[in-house]
Amino acid sequence: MMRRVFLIVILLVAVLAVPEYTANPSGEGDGTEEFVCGGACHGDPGLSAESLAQLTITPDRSETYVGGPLSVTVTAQDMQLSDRKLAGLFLLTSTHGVGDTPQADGWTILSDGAGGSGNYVEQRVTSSDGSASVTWALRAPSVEGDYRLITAIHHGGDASARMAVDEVGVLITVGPVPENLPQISAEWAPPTKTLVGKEMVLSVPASNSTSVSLEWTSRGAEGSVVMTQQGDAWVGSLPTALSATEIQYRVVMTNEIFVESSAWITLSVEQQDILPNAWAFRFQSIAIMFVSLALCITLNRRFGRPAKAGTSEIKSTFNQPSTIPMAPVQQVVQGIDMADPRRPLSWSDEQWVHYGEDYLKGLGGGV
Amino acid sequence: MVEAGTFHAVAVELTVGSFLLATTATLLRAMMALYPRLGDKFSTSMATGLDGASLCGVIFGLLVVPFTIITGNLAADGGNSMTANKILLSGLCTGLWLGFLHGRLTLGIGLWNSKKLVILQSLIALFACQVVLMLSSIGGTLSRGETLTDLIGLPHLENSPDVGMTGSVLMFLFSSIALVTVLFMQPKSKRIVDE
Repeated sequence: MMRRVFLIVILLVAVLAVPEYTANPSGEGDGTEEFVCGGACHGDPGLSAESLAQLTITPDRSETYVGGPLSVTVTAQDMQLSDRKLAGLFLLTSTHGVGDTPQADGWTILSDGAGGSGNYVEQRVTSSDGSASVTWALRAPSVEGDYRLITAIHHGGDASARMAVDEVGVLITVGPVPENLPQISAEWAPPTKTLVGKEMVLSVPASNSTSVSLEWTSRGAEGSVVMTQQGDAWVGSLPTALSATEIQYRVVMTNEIFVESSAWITLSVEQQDILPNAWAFRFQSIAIMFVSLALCITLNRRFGRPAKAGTSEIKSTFNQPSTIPMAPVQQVVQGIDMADPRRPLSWSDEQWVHYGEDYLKGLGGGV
Repeated sequence: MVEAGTFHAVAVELTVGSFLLATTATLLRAMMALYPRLGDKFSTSMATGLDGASLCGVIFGLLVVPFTIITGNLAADGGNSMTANKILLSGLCTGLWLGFLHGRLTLGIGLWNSKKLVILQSLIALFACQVVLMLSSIGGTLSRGETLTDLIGLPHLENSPDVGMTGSVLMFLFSSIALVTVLFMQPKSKRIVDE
């Protein structure tokens, strides 16, 4: 009876010990996530506590055309963050939990502002006003109509997983493509990530264009690069960054009637991780292996040594004269004739005692 | 094309699994040796089985370690301080498990009759297993940005010592001398007969 009660108590404690909220304290990582975050981030959104975050969603235009550009900036502020100061921002089309990403509605995310192309971006909030901001560059769906884009945020704070949603969002009208409008092929995937010191050459398949240029901006600096036509594509290079930074760029296409530009796309320039002196660490690793192996062997030998072979045993043996073993010389003398005629003349008694037996055996005779 | 990272994941699972098996078997066998009353409840074949399991676990784990290290190197895109710590801990892990194996092979199955040796082998296994878990934890941090050891507040080991190439070569030379001395100049232990 007592055993059962004890078992039940243990089980109850185990159940109650499970925290109310589960979360990934280090975040889930940027990517494409539905409103429920795949059940992996904060579990079901219904389990999340309320976030005080004020969300604003700002598009660069309210109307675009099929396959046309759109930039959307989402800003969150006033949220109560955990010590990690990590916040995850969503760009969504609804809060159904399934199929509510912009991609599911036909939008293509060209850039998420963090070097990727997902609808979910995590940011470590380090700004003095405690705000987080993400700009997505999108390509409109291939079907005309009105599309709603909403936003949500989730983060940890005060030992709880918290979530806020702006379900109103913005309404974007996607209309028909104007005749003879300069356009970029829907197949084009703009680069969003590169390494420091690496030249970024862009090849843009633009149609209906008589001239194409690249406009870029980075940390207050800005510029424009004229692209040259090579076959069906227009080619040009962005400035090469010498340190980790972000470059926003867009493609501006013109013809006799229109001037059209893509959405602002963020190119994340990252420092390549290089392990200095990899071989130095390998040498250290081998050294550590040798030392730990030597230590284990020494300890095993020390503890594995029989007690009778210890120093104290030897000392006690030699302190008792009666226990001193007989000298082996005596035994040898007993087995060999000192006056044996086969003994070489030049050999001393001592040599004959020690080596005589072997000598006689070498001659083929007995002792 | 299967990437090196996928092979690394498989190799890591094999390595960690083998060493965990070895550690568990060692600890259970040690408990049987240290608590005779407990040992009496189980058959001799159970004791022999646990000893064999620990031995097989260590040997298989050590066989997989080079594959794990090579795939890890190939999968690592560049490297950082955590990668450096992985390299250092890999050496410690291999050295400890080699020491464990050397002890078991040279002293024989009779080592379970010596209380001191049982405790020593168990401590080596426990420490080596801890190193394996730390290695896995760093791997998790590198690939997913978090690790289960976050739950118990273990550090991420984001910094690593850099003693330079000269210091590293000197460490290598001194450690080689130490190992050669131990292997060839130290009195060797005799195999313990199982009673």
